[in-house]
Amino acid sequence: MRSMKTVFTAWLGFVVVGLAYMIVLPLTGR
Amino acid sequence: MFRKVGDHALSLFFGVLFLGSLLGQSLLGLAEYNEEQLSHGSSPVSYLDFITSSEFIVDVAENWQSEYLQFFVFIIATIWLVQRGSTESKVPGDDGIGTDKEQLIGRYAKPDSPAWAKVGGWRQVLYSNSLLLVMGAIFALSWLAQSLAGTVVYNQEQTEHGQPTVDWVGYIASPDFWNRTLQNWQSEFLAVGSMIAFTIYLRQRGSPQSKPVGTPHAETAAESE
Repeated sequence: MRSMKTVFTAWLGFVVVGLAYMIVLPLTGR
Repeated sequence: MFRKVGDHALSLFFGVLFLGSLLGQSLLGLAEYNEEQLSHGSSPVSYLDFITSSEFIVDVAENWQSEYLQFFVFIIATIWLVQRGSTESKVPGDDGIGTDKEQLIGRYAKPDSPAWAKVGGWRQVLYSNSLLLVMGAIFALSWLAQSLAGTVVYNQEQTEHGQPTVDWVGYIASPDFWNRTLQNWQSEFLAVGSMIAFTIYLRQRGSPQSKPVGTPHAETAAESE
């Protein structure tokens, strides 16, 4: 059970971090 | 934490493929970008400069949005639309959101059903659509990221050529934005459409993406269960 939660959280984390990165950096005009 | 790594081989395998491909894209993207820089008489940039640049981000984001759009559309379309004989479809006649009994919600929930499947009201509605909502949110946010990074890249090019720059609203109405968007969408819809049609007649022994090899062509996936 716990390791399934780890898999789920890791994938969601990848995506959320990736989205934040790709939204914030262009807003700084880089 | 991982009692049996084999229980998670599929997600780990795709995680490794994802990180490897993204690393490859960043390295080869940098090489291409620096080739162009040199041909324009500009100085090459560092790896860190490149992976934090809008040039890199727009290419990543335009592919993300189309993949998540594909799943979003696929999830929503397969609620109501069927394809007889396809593994990707419900059985004709089963279209729609199903009854509470079929969906094991409310009083039909099992003792070990998810908590929000057992309760009624907004929590049950939210949980009943959670996959679609999350995929849709990721699509919308990565499409937003593509538009923001695309604006920066487009304006850099415009400036280099002495042309006027645009704001975000101007950019999302531009051919550049829609060309980047639609060239990704067309390939996603082609792949999904052909997968739906091909699984009527083609098989892969052992794959859950296929009907069992001996299943008649006219039998739609769920019927064999």
